[in-house]
Formats: sequence, C-alpha cells, structure tokens
Amino acid sequence: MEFPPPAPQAVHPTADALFSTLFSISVAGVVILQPMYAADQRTITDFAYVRLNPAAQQLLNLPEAPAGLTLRQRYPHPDHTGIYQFCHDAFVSGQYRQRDVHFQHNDLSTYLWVAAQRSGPYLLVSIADSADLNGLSTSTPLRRAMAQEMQRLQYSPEQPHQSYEAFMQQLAVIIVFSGPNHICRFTNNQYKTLVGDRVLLGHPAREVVPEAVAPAFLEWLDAVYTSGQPLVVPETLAWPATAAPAAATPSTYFTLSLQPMRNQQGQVDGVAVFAYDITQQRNSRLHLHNLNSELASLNVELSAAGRELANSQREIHQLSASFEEWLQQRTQGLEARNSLLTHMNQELDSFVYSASHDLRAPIANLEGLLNEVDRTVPADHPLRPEMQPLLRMMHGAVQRFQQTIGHLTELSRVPQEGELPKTPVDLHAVLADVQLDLTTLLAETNARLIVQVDDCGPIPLSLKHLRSIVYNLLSNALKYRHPDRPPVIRVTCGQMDAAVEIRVQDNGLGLTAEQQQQLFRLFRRLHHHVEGSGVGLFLIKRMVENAGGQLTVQSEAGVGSTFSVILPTE
Amino acid sequence: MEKLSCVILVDDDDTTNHINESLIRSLGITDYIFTANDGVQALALLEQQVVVPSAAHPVLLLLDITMPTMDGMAFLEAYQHLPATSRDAIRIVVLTVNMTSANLARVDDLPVAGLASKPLTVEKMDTILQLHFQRKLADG
Repeated sequence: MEFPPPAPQAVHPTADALFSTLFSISVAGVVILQPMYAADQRTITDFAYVRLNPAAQQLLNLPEAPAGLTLRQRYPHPDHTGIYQFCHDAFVSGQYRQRDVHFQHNDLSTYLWVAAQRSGPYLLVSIADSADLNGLSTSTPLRRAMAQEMQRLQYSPEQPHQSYEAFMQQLAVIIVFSGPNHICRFTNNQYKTLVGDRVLLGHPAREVVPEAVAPAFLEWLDAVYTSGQPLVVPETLAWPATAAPAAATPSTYFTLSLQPMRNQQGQVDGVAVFAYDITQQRNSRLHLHNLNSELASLNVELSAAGRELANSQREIHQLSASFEEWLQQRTQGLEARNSLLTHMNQELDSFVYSASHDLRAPIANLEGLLNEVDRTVPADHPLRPEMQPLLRMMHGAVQRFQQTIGHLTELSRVPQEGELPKTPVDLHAVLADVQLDLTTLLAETNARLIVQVDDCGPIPLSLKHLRSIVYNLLSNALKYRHPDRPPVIRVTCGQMDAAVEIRVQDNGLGLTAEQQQQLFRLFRRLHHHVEGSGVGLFLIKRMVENAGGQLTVQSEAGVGSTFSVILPTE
Repeated sequence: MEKLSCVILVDDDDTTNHINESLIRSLGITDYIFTANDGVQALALLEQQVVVPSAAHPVLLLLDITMPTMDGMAFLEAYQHLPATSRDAIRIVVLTVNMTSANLARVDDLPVAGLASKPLTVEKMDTILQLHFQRKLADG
C-alpha cells in the first residue's frame, strides 16, 4: 500500500534548488560548458565540459562530469559540425542562439536541436533530438544503421572521406517495409532512383517488385525479417524501368543495406532498406580495373621485352667477351708469329750471309782451278778448238756465280747497315751525283731527265741508301725504256704529313698488273733483253722499308711507270 | 827475279793451298813452299825456322781468315808477340773471299802487309811482289 506524500510546505525553493531539480529531470539535454582561454586571457580556444544532465548524458553518451574533456577534443574536425563555432559565437555575443545541427559521434547519427546562452562564466547549452521532436519512432535504429554505413564508408580503405561527402550529397534511398508481407510504409525522396516510377507506399513488396529482381529481393527481405540479422548486398542493379526497354537507360548500381526493425518488445516487425548509388564508384572501379589489367598486360609485355633485352644484352656481352678473347688470342698469336717471323728473318739473313760466304771459297777455287787449266795447257799442245769456248763459258758461269753471291751478301747486310747514321741528305746533291754516274747511259739513250725537287727538304735516310735507291730507279727507267721513243724521266718530290715522297716517273715499257705484283721479288727479272740481276728493286724496297717507308709503283704497260718512295720524317 | 826465301800458305782448304802452290811454283817465286791448315800449324812452322828469312831472302805468308782451331785473326794476335827479329823479314798477306767490316777494322792494327781476294791470280801475285818485295815477275 502506498501513501501519497504530504502536501509540500509553503516554502519557496531557492533558484539553485529549482535549477538543480530541473537540470536533473529535463527531457532536453543540458550541458554546462566553460570557455578556455589562450595565454592572453582574451582569446577563447576551447570549451571544457563542466557538467551534463541525465538527458544530455544519454544523448551524447557522456558521463555527468567528463573530467578534462573539451569540446574540441570531442569534435576535433573543424567545421565538421560547426558546434564549436556556434558555442563560441553564443558565448561571445551573450545572446540566445539556436540552430539545427547534424552531428555524429559513436554510432549515432543525429539531428539535434541546439540552443545556447551565456550564464556568467558558463555557457549553458540545451540539446534536443530533432528526430524525437518530429516523433519518428523508428529513428534510432535507422540512424544507427545509417551511421554504421557512413562509418563503414568513412573508414573503409577504398572509400576515404570523400565517399562520405558523396553520400551526403546524394542521399541514400530509404524504403521501410513492415510486417511479414513487407508492406511499404515509408519512402524518402530518393527512392525513385532505385525503383523507378513505381508507387510503393501501402503495397506489399511482392506486388511492386519487378519480376527481374523479385526473387532475390524478396528473399533478402524474408531473410532479414526472419533472422533479425542485417544484410548487406554489395552490388545490385536498379530496378528495370517500367516503360522504356532496359537497354535504353544506362545501368545504375546500388549497394543495399537491409536492417531489421524491432517493436517495443524487441521483435522484428519490419525491414528498412537503404540503398545508395555506387554506379560512379563501380565505373571508377571498373575503369581502374581495366586500367590495371591494361597495366598488367603492359607489364607483361614490358617484362617480356625486358627479358628479351636482357637476353640480347647477355648475348652481346657473351659475344663481346668471346670476341675479346678471340682478339686476345689472335693478338697473342700474331705477336708470337711476329716475333717468330722476325727471328726467322734474322736467321735467314745470317743464313744468306754465311751461305754466300761459304760458297765463295769453293767458287774462288773453281776460278783458280780454271786459271790453272789455262796456265798449264802446254804451249806445244794447245787445246782442241772446240774446247776453247767451253772453258770461256765455264769462266762466264763462275763469274755469274760470284756476282750472284756478291748480291746475296749485299742483301744480307742491308739490315745491319740500316743502322747507318741518318743525317738528312740533300736530294739535289744525290741526284747530281747519280746523274754523273749515268752520264754515258743518259747520252746513249738520248734521255731527258727533268728534276723538280726544289720543294723537297732534306731526306731522312742514310746517304748510301738514298744513293742506291735513286741510282736503281733512274737506271731502271733508262734500261727499261720504250724502243719507240727517247726516255723522259721526271723526278719530283713532295712534303706530306710527317713524310716525304720522292717520285720517279718514266715513259718506258711499263708493267702489266701481273708484272707489278712480281716486281719487287728477289731475282725476279721481268725483261730479259737487258742486263739485270733481279736484285736492285728488292734491295731498295728493303732499304725503304727498313727506314719505315714504302716503295710503290703505278704503271701501265706501254705507257710508263711511276715509282713512289715515301719516307717518314719523324 | 831474286827468289823469296820461302812462301808459307795458311788455309784449311787443301784445294786452295794446292792451287796457290801450283801457281807460285809455276811462277818460280821460291823453291820452298810450306802449307799449314790453321794458325797453330803456321806458328809451329815459324818456330821450327825451317828456312831462316833474311832481308835478302824474305818470306811471304798468305793467310786465310776463316779456319778451324786458330783462325787468321787469332794467328795474327799470336804472331805479333813473336820477337821482332824473327818477324822482320816476314810479309803477311791476308787472302780471303770476303772480310767482315769488324775484321777489316782490326787488320789495320795488326801486322798485315796487304789484302787480296781469292782466287790468287798471276796479276795479284805480281802486285804483291811489287808492293811488298820490290820484285817483278819475269815477263812470260
């Protein structure tokens, strides 16, 4: 049995007591904030939570006195809700201020009615849930779901903050079905983007959902309704248009979130469907996907090309390595062969020298013996007449033999005499000297010798060798003259880069290409009608080459020849 | 022509020696011809003094250069250490097919009267006698 309390005493309660009671029982949330100042004690930097009444505690999910908590800690993002600026302005102005504020914390997405006014050092803030004021009973779970979705969007790695912005700009489709038959009870303004021109309100889902999507859609609704578990369909097409063929309109994609709605007893009595357009994200994703696969195939191509390149490089490297190896081997081989050849040349020279020397003694003996035969033929028994020419021919043969051996000896001495002192020689003087030697031959052949060597400096060769060379070339030009015309010999010279060239040009017999090839060979005589040993050109070529120079010939049979001696001046 | 005391032929080649001996004998230059095949044999001949040379009867020594055992150059080196009295009436003529330039240079410093190339001929012999012995071959 309860007894009613006695009538209150006629005592006026104090303002404090009244406030305190009101503070405790108010259905509107009341928050007492205290401004925090910067060092200059003038600029407000933040507001500290001083105290919250039970309603505010429930609304904001905060304790009665959140120690140390400030408004900015609670809402760190500037302009996120505008709540700080609102409080600041209210405090500074001292006027009553109110506004409609949407804000979000924990898992609550809330439209709040906020009013604030300064009271002494404090700012009193009164908060009411605007949804409650509008009396929508399902608001809390809806908001919770919405908040969850928004959070999911906001924190999912693929969809950074901008998704939330996008979401806010094109608000989600909201359709609420109630009862086991899913009768549509609520749609928001956006719902047509999902369902087209269909009228949903008051109809069971079964009747309005088009056939194309009905089985799946109804299954989802049933599933959520019977299990009480929320369901997310990540990607589904908008419902086909009623009139125009589906292909005519571009496809629109949605993500569906189906949330169970519960009555006071906690039983599921409906399903809320949130749908938001993900076409753009999907396109972007597809585009990105395409780009990615293009990139991937490009990568494959590139890596294939890279592999080929690497292979080619490896091959080139191997080739160049083996080429270098080959080159080195070849160089070594050539060097070895070169020193072998040099050695063989020296051997050959000394062989020629000793051979010619060793042959001389028996030849001398042969000559001596022939002389003795001549001498010992008794005066009273002269040789038979036919023997005389035989003896003469034997003398001739021995003489030729001696000459040849003499040439050979001379040849073998050329390299040794290559060490002759090389005081540069005046070509003019050498030519005059040689001309003197050839006076008879020049006169006999009625030859004309044209000397144009004024442009020529001193010749870097030993006098002996230069004389031999000039003598050989000039006497050859006279010896191998053309029978139809008197010889004309032109001696010219010219300075080249680090070299000097002496040319002896004649209008003689000339040489065929074949003859030119054999010209400088030892004992090679191309013409038999004139005397010659076949040694001269070989010898002077050797002299020129020993001095680092070149002896070449340009010739045309029947026209004439030009011999060129090039000697390095360094 | 007043004959030489003797002629010594120094050559390792017996044919050369034979030819030269035959020529000299036919020219009646001397009655005594000795042969040696190398420098050692030549030195031995000189030491034996088979024939004593004198100013009136000098000795001609024809010397080859290239020989085994002791060649012409080595012989000349050894020869110049003999007493001057035993060398006074000896004239040495180098008879060779060819001289290396090194040997030619050394010959100047050695007791060599002259050089002649092989083979020895009547003309060359005449020249040697005129230059080094003030004698002349009889005509014919």
